[in-house]
Amino acid sequence: MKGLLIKDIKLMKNQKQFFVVMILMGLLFMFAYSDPFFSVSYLTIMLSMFCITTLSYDEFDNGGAYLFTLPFSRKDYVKEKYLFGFLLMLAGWAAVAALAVAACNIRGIAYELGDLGIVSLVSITLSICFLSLALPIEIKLGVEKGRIGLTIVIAAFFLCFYFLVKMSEDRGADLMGLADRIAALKTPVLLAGIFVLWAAVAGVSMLLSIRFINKKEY
Amino acid sequence: MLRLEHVRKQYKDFALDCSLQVKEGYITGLIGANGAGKSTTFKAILGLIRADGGTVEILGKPAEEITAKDKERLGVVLADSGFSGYLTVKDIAGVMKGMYKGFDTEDFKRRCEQFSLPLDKKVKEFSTGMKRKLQVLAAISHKADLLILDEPTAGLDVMARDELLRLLREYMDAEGRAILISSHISSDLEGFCDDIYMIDRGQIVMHEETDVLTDEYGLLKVSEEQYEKLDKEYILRYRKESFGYSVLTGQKQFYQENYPDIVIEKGNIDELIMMMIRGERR
Repeated sequence: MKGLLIKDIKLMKNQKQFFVVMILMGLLFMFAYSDPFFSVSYLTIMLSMFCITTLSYDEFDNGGAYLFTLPFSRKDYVKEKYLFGFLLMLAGWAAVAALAVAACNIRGIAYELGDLGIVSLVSITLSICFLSLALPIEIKLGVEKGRIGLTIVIAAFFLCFYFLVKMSEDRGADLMGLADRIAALKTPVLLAGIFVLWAAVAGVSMLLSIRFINKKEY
Repeated sequence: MLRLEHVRKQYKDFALDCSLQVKEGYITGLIGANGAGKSTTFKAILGLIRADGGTVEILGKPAEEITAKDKERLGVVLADSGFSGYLTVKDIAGVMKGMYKGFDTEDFKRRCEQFSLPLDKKVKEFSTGMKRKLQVLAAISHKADLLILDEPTAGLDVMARDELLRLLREYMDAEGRAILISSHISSDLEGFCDDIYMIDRGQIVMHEETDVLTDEYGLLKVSEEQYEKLDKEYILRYRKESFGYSVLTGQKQFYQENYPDIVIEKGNIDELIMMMIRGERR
C-alpha cells in the first residue's frame, strides 16, 4: 500500500500545470468573487478527480500487467485508490478552506463558520459520490471507454433525479418539506447521517470495484 | 520453485496447454517463435490471466494462495509491459523501496547509471532496449528467489545483452534461487540455461537439459538412398531437402557408430529448434 501511495504521489508531478491552473483559478475566485467559499467546492471536487487520472497513468502502454506482478493484491490496489482519492480530497479541502477563511478576513467579508461547514459537507459529499461512481466504472471499462461510460452514467443519474422530482411534484409529494425536515435535524444527528451516507456509498462502490478488478485480465 | 501442470487457456484462435518445471538452482529457458505461447504462459503463472484449467505452483504454494509477501520473492520482466512511462528511474526507486523490504536503493541507482539509464528522465522517453535494462535491473534489485523473465533480452544490442546475462549469472551465485527466462532467439539462451523447454502453438514440444541437447542431439544430412537404409528408431523429425533429407536425432552417437559415412552436424540450438517445429514427425 505504501509503495502504491508513493507511486501515485510521484505521478502527481506530471500534472503540475493542471494544479497550477487550478490553484490560480481558485485564488482568482477567492479574491475576486463575492463569495470566497465557492472555491472550496470547486477545488475539493477538482482535486479528488486527480485520483481517476492516476488510473490512466497506470494503464499507459499496458502498464497494468507489470503493476500487478508487484507485491500487492488486486484488492490492495483498489483500496489504495479510494484511500488516495479521499486523502487528496481532504488535503485539498483543508488547504482551500483555510485559504478561504484567510481571504474573507483579508477582504473584510463577514462570514459564518456554519456556512463554510455546509459548503464543505456538500463539496465532500459530491466528491465522494463522484469518486464512488467513477472508480468502479473506470476499473470495469478501462480509462478510454470509462470516460464515455462515466458521462452516460452521470447524465442518467441527473435524468433519474429530474424525473423523480418531477414525478413527486406531479403526485403531490412534498420534497421541499422533506428537505426542511432534514435541515431541522440536530447537527450531531445530521452529521452522523451524512457520515453513514459517505461510508455506505464508498463501501458499496469499493466492493463493486474489487469485484470488477478481480475479473480483469492483463 | 515453479511447476505448471497442464495449464490451459483457450482463445479464439489459440490454445495453450503447458506443463513445465523450474527447479531450485536452475536457469530454465522457454523458447518459441513469436505467438507460440510464451507470454500467455508467463501471464498464467503470474495470475494476470485466468487459466481455464490445470495448476500453477509457485514457491511451493498454489498460485491462488500467493500473498503480497510471497510476491516480494519474485522478480518479473514482461515482454509487453513495464513501469508507467510517466515515472522516472528515481521515482521507481522510491516506489520499489516502499514495496520491497530487500530493495537496495543505492545499488539500484548505481547499476542504472552503469547501464547508462538517466535517473531523471521519464521511462516513456526511453528506447526499447533501455526499458528492458531497467526492468531486469528492477527484477534483480530486491533479492528475489525466483526470476520470471519474459524476453528480457529483446531489443538489446549484443554488448548490453551479454552484460545483462552476466548480471543474471551473478544473481544465481546465491543459494536457493532460480530463473525462468524466455526468448524467441534461442541462441541468446544457449550456454546460459541449464534446461530448455520448447513451445510451439501453445504446446511444449520438447524439454531437454542443455548439455544433452548440445551433446546428444544432431542433424544427419543424408541422401534419399541413405535415408531408406537408416534405422529410424532414434529419429525425432525429418525434412525433405534438395540433397535428400535432414534428420534430427536425439542419439547422435548411435548414428556416428553405425553409419560412419553419414554427415552428422552438431547443429546449434536454433537449427535443432527449427527442425523440432518445422520438421515432420516420423
